Amino acid sequence: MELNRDEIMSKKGEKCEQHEDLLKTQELQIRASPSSQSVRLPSQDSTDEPSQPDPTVRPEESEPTVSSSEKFFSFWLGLSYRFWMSMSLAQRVLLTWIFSLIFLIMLVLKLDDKIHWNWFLVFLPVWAFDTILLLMLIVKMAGRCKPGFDPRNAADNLKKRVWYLVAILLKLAFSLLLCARLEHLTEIFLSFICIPLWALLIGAMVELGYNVFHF
Amino acid sequence: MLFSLRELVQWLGFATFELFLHLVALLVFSVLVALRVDLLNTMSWWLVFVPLFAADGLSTYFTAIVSIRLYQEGEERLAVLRLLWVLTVLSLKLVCEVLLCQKLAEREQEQTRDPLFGLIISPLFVLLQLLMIRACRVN
Repeated sequence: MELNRDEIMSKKGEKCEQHEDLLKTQELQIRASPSSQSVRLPSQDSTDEPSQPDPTVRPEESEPTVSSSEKFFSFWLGLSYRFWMSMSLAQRVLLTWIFSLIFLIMLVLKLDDKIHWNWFLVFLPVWAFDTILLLMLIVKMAGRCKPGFDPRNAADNLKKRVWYLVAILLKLAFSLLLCARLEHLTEIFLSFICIPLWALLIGAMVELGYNVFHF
Repeated sequence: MLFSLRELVQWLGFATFELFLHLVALLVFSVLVALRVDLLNTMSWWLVFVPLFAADGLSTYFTAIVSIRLYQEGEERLAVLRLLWVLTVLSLKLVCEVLLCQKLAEREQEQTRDPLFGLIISPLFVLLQLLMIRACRVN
């Protein structure tokens, strides 16, 4: 038990270091890039002439030219990438916990007729949580375009990411349909509403089985 | 997605097989709920909740077997801790399910507001706090 945990921790540490290296190189490139194009693909980087890095100039302080928004965007991307990658288990648990707690409280209040909000408003924590997951997934997928991306397991990883994307969309579809039905916007059968949920559950079971038999 | 399987198993304290079991139960339950609402309006709600109860029972049985094996192999502390944790979680879940089922079944017959949904969901609030505490410990 202890040994396992140590192994996991050391692996995590290695991963974090790798990501930090990636981020450092990326940040340097953001700062070093000429003002015309700040978002570049890794394949183009090697052919470009390296310009002098200037650590005193921060991307958001540069003059408002056309490229500043691009710079800001790539800076933001780097920052959020760092943020998501460095989230520990406790932080992710906290995120999930807060959103489920708020949702449960709002659900109880609505069901007990203490508040008379729209159902779409009650589901606000669910929308927020799904949006965060989607953003996280997109940021991770954008991480593929980084310099020094390891192409090993890339196809496998991509398949997984696509499945996650589909899963989030299925979940969104289910909750949207459920809200619509609860608000009496449509009167479709509950069975049709549940179809995305069933697809999601079956997919989750397949993934669970896959994880058990392939690792 | 947000968590890997290993993290989930560590955090929830359930084996992969048990997670699978609960997923299957949830699937069957959602099918039954959809059927009950759309087609069979006379079906008892207790019958609809049978898959969830069955999953709880099977999970308890599985945990008992695992704990006994762990105990026999000399891992007394681990066995007791695991048994206590899983039984706590399962009993909280079961209380919530039974209350919800009772509420749904009674609401069909007479318009009663008792028990409130706040009471029904309260085991879930306790469960959330416990999960949070456990997450801190695992980390």
